[in-house]
Amino acid sequence: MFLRPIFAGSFKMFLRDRHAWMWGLFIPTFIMGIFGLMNFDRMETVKLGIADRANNEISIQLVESLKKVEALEIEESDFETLNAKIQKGDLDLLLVIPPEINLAAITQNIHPIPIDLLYNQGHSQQVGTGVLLINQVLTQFGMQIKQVPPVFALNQKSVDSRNLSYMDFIVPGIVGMMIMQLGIIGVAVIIVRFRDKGILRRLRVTPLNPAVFLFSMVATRLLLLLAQAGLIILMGVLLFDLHIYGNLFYTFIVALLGSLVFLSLGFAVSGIASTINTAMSMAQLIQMPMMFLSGTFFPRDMFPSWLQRLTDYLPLTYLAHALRQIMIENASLVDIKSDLIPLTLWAIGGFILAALVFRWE
Amino acid sequence: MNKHLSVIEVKNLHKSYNHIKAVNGISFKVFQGEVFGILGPNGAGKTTTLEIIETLRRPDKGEIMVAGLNVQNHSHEIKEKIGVQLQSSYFFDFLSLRELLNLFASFYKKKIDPLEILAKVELTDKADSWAKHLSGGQKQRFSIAAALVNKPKILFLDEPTTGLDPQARHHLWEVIRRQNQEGITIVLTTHYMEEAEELCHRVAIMDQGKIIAIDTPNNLIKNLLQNGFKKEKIVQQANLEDVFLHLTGRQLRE
Repeated sequence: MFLRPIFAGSFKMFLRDRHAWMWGLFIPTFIMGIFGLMNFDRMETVKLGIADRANNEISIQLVESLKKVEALEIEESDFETLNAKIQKGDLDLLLVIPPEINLAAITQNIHPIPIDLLYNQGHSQQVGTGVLLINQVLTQFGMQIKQVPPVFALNQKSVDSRNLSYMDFIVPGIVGMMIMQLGIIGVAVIIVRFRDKGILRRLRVTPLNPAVFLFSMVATRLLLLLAQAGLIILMGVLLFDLHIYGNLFYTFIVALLGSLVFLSLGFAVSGIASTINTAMSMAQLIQMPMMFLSGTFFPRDMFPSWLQRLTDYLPLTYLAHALRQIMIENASLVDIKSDLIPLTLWAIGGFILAALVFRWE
Repeated sequence: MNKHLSVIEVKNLHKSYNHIKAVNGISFKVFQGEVFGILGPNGAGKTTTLEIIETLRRPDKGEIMVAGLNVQNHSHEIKEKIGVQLQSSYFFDFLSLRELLNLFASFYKKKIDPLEILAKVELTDKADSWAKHLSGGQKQRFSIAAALVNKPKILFLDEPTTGLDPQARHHLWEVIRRQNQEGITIVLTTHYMEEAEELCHRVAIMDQGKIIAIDTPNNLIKNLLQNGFKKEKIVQQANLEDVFLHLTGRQLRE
């Protein structure tokens, strides 16, 4: 097959291109690592400081019961230290167990013993959760000591549910972003450079159809991209506890459709831009808003509704959503037809635009 | 050279861009085995003429035969038979000269020995270097090597020595002459009259889209002298380039 050396040549070119690896692998890994370390999921826990001024059998038991609650992150120390921390915002709540607490006081006293709970006004969400949890522990603890039998027994059953972590959210978004970057900036810059430097012209004095050559370049890049995306996903699974549930073949189909959309946009940019610098700026101008607004890094429901409506129709919005539905939610292709149909329309529109503006010279 | 066998025949060639006539009805022949030069100031139509013969552009009017084939309907076959060095000598990044030659050979569905071709332009020791690390003269020589992968009958060189220092230029002339001696017909454009005198068996002088003279360099000079031309300055037996080469040597600097 005469195409083999051409594919081999394109492969070598990209394998040896450090910039391509940097953009294709290093940057996505870096982004994943940063967001992985930030660990947005931990925000759901409540930071509770406990100053135990009683320090007797009862108070120690109470602290132990609180420690059993998973959602509470407990720090024990003296009041002064903890008070300073809550004022700095390092704690959400501060529970002060008074010295009056002891077995005798509890069993004899008919009035409830006051326990101070200082809360951080700024962290209303954590405070709300924390107060509920602490209240629950205190009630149960009190009933235990007074030996009142509980009225209800909560029968807990574990369900094998899929818990979406932030990593689960972001990795499909990163894969979508990689596809977009390869398609638009990757392709546009290569074509403009080859045209600008006279390589396309040089190819045209050989019997090879230059379209065959561009096809081999694009196809090899696409293959490498898939390999890079695979590595990113693998790294997510191994290092960041990423949960992949979906069908890999469907993922591949969606990635391919997304590639067609962005490749045609890249070809269109290469036709409009006449220098490498213009091509780069144009590509960034198209990519940047999509990178942040298409729900790749942040869920779009965090945006005001007018912005959501505005970004509803961006190709990366559809692609990131489709990838996420398939990889994480185990959707079928039919389930995501509301993404696939607009993506196909984008691909057709992009192709027509590219065909209109593309030029060899 | 064989005066009875023309490998290129151009008859009444016309080409306009936006109503400006770049080439305005030119006709000429290139004979088998000769080095044919097309001279002329910038914008004279040299490159356009060359590009039409190389099948890169379509003529508006005229008949052009290359190696017995019409450029209008046999461009693919013509591409198999010609080698072209364009003005830009950029090649793909991240591939060695050896790999680049193999890649270009594959465009012709041919297998070649890259070292054999690199030897023709004296670049065997650079076989594993990348094109972007070559000096200006080496790049030009490599462009010629890349144009030789399909064993062409005709080699087109567009301003092959522009921007080179005198040593590199003399060296490139050697390379071109050697290819011609091996039987390849060469068509080149140049701004340097000295280069035309040194290399070309015949030259065509173009201006404003027309060929205004075509002959051997010697005949052209003779005609001018016969018409009573005299140089204001007495011709010396050496010129400044001779001085420069005498002082700096003919050794290549790369």
